[in-house]
Amino acid sequence: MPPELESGEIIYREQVKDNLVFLRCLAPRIAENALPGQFVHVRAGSGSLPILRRPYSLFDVDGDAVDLLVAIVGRGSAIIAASQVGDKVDLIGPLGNGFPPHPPETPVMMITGGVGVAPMHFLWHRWQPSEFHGKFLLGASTKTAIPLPKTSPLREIAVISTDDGTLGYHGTVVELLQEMIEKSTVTEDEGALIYACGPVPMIRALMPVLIRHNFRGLVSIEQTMGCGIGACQGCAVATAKDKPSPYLLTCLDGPVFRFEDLDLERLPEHNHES
Amino acid sequence: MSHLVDLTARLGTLEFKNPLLAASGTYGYAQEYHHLVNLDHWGGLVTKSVTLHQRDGNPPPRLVETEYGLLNSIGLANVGVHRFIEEKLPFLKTVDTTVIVNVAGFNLTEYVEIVSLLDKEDGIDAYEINVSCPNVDDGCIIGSDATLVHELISELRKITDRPLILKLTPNVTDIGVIAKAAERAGINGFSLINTIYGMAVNLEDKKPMLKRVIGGYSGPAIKPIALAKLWEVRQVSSLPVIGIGGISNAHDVLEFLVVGASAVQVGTASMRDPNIVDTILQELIDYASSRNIARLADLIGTLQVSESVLI
Repeated sequence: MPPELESGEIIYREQVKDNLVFLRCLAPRIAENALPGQFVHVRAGSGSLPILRRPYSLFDVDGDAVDLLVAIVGRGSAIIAASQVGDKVDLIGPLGNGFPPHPPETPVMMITGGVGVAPMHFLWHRWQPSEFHGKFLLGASTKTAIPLPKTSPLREIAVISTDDGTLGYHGTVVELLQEMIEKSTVTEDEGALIYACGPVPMIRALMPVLIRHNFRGLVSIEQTMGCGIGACQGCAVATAKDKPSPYLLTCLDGPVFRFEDLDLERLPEHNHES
Repeated sequence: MSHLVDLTARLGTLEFKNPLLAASGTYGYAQEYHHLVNLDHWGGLVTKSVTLHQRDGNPPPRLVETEYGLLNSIGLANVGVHRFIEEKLPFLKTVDTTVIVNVAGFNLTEYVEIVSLLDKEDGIDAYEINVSCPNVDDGCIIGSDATLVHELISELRKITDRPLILKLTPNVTDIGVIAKAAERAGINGFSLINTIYGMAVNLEDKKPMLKRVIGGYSGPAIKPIALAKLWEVRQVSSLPVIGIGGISNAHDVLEFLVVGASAVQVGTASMRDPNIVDTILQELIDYASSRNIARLADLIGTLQVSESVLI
């Protein structure tokens, strides 16, 4: 479905933690067509600065509303996160490719770091529990940094790792995955598909695990984005050596890519926000 | 859009239904935006630069937002003139607006070849000649050399009857010298300014934020620079000018008109507001209505400068 410009209304806001806000935004036209893995491009404020919109992978769709998880990492996200119930937010969406249809018999390991939980949460929620064979691994820096709103059922289901060991596994989410593989909690069959979203170092660290165990995988990435619809060519990422085109656009060809299609070493790490 | 204010703009023989043009680059080939906005409302569309061969563009990161502007290093990523004619031009013909194709070459022969190919096609109203891309090797060589500009425009003048607009770079010592050289060669008008050289640094790893270190700076920060360059060109040439640089509302448009632009291009601001044409048109109509201005073009070049301060 083609994207829409929609003025959404905030109907629920939750301060998940100091620098993380959950927003539920009434946007029926976008909600109707949105697929897991797709994103909305959100205008920050009504003036001429900041210049760029901010892209957010949908955390969920709830009836006529879209859910966003907004980490405050700069000026634009701070403006968006400060939106209160009743405020209007200017959205373009749904954008991007989203996750491809999932073969029901294939188990999926979802590996998420920080706010990278968003697209995976939507995908996981869209599946009936009977369709989800696999595990949801969620990494955070510390116990208080778990990036989930109060109501998320994922709190009960996710296998959690924290860098400081204050909750769940003590270590990174990739280390957790490796341990689960070694302890045969995940057989190679079971982990046949890896779906990942998180910081670039996490994505890079996953690559050797995929190769070692011959897993196939999809990764949802985040890049500084201009127009969001393929016009400006600003969000290009480098592809792996053998690919026909040296670059793909995050907004149009992604944000969900096959691991093997990207040159992860050349994936820009600093998603700078002014 | 019906209104009582005459918004039409003129650039020599070229007519625009209003003075707002989508600038080259940010608006792609316009088709990308057609689900989101009514493209017919634009006074004109300027395409992304078309080169002789398809170009993949520069290595990422290509975009960096700074406090008051935007740095880009796209590197003329485009489909090339042949695919442009096959795949992009048919859609542009369906839009009820003035279409200007932005042309970029790496030498005189390439410019001539591109314009020759495009000249066989219908649905193109003018060419904007890009001689000043800051994001490719040697991109600014022609645009900052009056002799080369004169030679290029003279050659293009021989092969096309369509209006030729030279897009001027601010990255030169004297923009007026370049403008005069193009005027002598038969240019029909100017568009200015292209982006300004800029860079930004990541202090965490002390690396440049753009892969290619330097990029083109655009956005609200460059508007005063663009106005000054427009004023400089106005001092040496009476040819029509399309103003470009940091325009994001009617106030900005009016400033350019008053300094002497016949029309303007909106670029960076379109990414924030794809429908900016409707937003600004309404603001312009409101402005003109409230001041009993019947014809927006009457404002062009009405800047009041006291003789004593002229330099």
